[in-house]
Amino acid sequence: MTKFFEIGKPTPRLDAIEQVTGKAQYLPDLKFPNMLYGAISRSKVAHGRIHNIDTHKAERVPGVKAVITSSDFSTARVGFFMEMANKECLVSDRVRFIGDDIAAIAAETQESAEEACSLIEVDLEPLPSVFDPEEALKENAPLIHEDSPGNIAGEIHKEFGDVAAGFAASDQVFESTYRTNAVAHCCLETRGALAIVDAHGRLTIWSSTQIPHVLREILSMTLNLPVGKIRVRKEYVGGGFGSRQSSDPNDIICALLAKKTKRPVRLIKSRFEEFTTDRARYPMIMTLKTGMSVDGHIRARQVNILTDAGAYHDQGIMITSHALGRISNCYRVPCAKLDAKVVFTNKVYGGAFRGYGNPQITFAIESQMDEIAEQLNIDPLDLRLKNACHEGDLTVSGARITSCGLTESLTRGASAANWKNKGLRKQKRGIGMACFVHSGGGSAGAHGGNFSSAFIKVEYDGSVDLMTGVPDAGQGSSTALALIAAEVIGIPVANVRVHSGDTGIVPVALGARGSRETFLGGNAVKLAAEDARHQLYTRAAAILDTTVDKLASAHGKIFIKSQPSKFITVAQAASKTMHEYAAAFPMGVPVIASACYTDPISEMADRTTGYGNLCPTYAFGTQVAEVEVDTDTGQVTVLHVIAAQDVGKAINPMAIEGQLEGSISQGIGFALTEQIIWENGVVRNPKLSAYNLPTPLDHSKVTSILIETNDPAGPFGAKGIGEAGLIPTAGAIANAIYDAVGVRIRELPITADKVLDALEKNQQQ
Amino acid sequence: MTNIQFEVNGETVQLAVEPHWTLLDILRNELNLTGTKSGCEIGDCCACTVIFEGRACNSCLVLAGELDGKTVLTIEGISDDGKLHPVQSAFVNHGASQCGFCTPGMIMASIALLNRDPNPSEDEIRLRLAGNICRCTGYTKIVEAVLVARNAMLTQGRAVK
Repeated sequence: MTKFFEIGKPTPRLDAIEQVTGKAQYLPDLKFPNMLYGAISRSKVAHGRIHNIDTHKAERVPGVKAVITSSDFSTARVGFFMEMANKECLVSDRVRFIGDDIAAIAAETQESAEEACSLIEVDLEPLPSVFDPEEALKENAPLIHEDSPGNIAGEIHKEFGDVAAGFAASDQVFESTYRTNAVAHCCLETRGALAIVDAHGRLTIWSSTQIPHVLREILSMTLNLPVGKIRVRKEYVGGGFGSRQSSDPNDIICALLAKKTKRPVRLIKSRFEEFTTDRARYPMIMTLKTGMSVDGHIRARQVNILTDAGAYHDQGIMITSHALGRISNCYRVPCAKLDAKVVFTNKVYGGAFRGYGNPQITFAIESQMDEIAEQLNIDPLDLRLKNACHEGDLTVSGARITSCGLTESLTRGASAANWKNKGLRKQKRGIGMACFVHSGGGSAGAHGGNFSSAFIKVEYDGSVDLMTGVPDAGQGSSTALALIAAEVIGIPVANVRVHSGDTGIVPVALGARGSRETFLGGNAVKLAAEDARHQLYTRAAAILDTTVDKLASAHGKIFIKSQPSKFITVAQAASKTMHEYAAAFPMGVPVIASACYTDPISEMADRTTGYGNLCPTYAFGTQVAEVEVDTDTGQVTVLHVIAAQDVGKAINPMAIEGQLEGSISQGIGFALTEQIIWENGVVRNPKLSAYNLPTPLDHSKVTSILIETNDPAGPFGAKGIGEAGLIPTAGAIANAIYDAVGVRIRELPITADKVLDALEKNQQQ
Repeated sequence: MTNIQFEVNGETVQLAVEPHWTLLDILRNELNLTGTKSGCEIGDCCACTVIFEGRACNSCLVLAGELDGKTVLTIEGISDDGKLHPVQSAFVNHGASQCGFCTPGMIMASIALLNRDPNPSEDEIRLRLAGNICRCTGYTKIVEAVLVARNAMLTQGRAVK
């Protein structure tokens, strides 16, 4: 087994000291001389036709420098897929949800901007509105977009294999409907932007974004500016979880206000705006049908999904279509079918949230696995083991499984939970498990290739500057990438400085999304570091009178493998040229390397069939949850979650544990407490105290088991796990509740009242 | 505008303030102490926690008028001559920050707790940090870090700040 000297060690974030001293600068901490403050006037009705927007009163508020409406940029639409984007940054003639952007203001103070907002007068004719996706499908439902009859944002019909034959060949068919809720990301820092337009007309925009380079493209399209005139910068970002992997009208409106006023403008959403206008996890209604053989093998699987898109397109169709891979890649499924409708309603539009649709469908799949196990009288662990995917599998949807820790995650997770003796638990306590598969390195698709890139510069003191397109939004990618560079070059990680999140400096990457940072970014960094190392070794070989292939490096030294005492330092190699010039001017010729990594494995899904190997690697895992149910109140307490996770190779175990613990906390919230509550299109709980986030008191113990499967394509074998941890949590908890008190709740969140109702129904029977 | 005088991180500050300004506004906008973060402005998230008169406090809920003659400690004021406070070191070494936005408030709440009660149990730590929201970590490593800092401070017999 290869020995590593830097990767694999629990390593604190390289920027933790900035964070704990308050020196880390986030967007709201930036201020510029002459800076203006922005605010957005928003719709108070869920659906209506705008006849006129009167801005005169707003313009007269002292300190107001600009008021803009759609007439300032009537064609600007924004969305994840720009070709289908139908959200106008500022609406022209129609509002479609409460909070829709109507006009924007820049003023000398935040107070003036907000006062002006309240004075925008909108002559608006209310239209009938619809909030429920099933209602929206009905024949007489109000139409939200003229070009989307039936309020259908998109339909998906895909089938692999012959599902009808699969069901016919099944001994028993199981069918149930599962529902998930809209949950909010609740990043501690709300979304913001700060834009400056210079004398050349060049735009610099700071944004709390996960996608600096993609945002630059979107700004280029919406503002009609060449990318060479746009620089996107990201400081520290207070959370992302998918919410900042799409651009938002906020970025574009901020840029436009700066352009119009020729002054810096900062536009930050309030917490209320974050809850009412930022994209939540798509709620889904999923009818899952599974055909089984009597001995517990899956014969066929079919799912029918209704996704509530909210008022506009973002990623509803893509997120829903990914369900196909989830139903066919975790377990061996000979045939699979997806029929889905994505439907517009008059609510804030949905978006990506950690897992990209997978937490929803996996809740359905894993709940049903337990229902099947009970009916077939098979232990849920055995049922999963029997059907689990393995390395080398080619799944019915076209996924090639090149490394797979699913079976090991099941056995190790079960063993840590003492699964065999689960019946011995105290009354009202129960355990349940759930498995999942997710991409471990992004996917081909959204923006063509699946790639990342890196620059490396080795200074003559042996330290390294690493410039990566991968932005760290808190997940710890910068530290993981620094570890990879340090390992390859053979220097301590503390000697690596990471620069990221500035499109003016760093090379292009797809951003922090889809668990792709470690896999893609890591491969790009590894390639660049290997190039830099080769340059260093070439210099070292000349000094040590040997050849490059005989050298190795670690701890800042380059040495002859067979004679480790013969070495020079990385600094000496990097500054070799310094000795050839005057020692008084020790500049040296720097070692510079760059690399772009495009994953050669993933492929676009076939347009008609949907078939394809969408991801370069797949991460598997099992979670086992232990819960206690208070049968007097219905309250569920999660006591312990064991997460057995296929990580490929743990580059930084401390960061992986942190990702799992944080994801599981979000998974517990998704399962038990969190939901955006709407009443006629009004968000009834638009604040953190009313939304029921997990707090330090709602903790459950988390045990992380990291399973190293050494993926053949991952950097040092690593897979991404940024989303993994929350995907199976809700299913494991639902199954544990059933184990504890015998009630099966198929609708999230599993609140106390739902448990109590189900307990009462059970008693009546 | 009203003139007030109060102490921030050991220094006396004199300021003309509007009565509706909060301590959070004053720290961030007037004194450029941006280490204290704003997450909700209504006392829901505790990202803006500072130590006010010896107690952990949401700076977004303290009005300017309440400040006159009082003492405030912020994240910028807890390292001795550049040496990290044991709570800060523990947060670094135990992976207790991810995005880092809740971190200053979390650290101030933890220090206020340890100053008042040098030996809290894990349950007490969780109870006293219950208002501080973190969306990244699931609190596991935060609580671990506070326990480590507690033990370090007990062994060092560190003077209570």
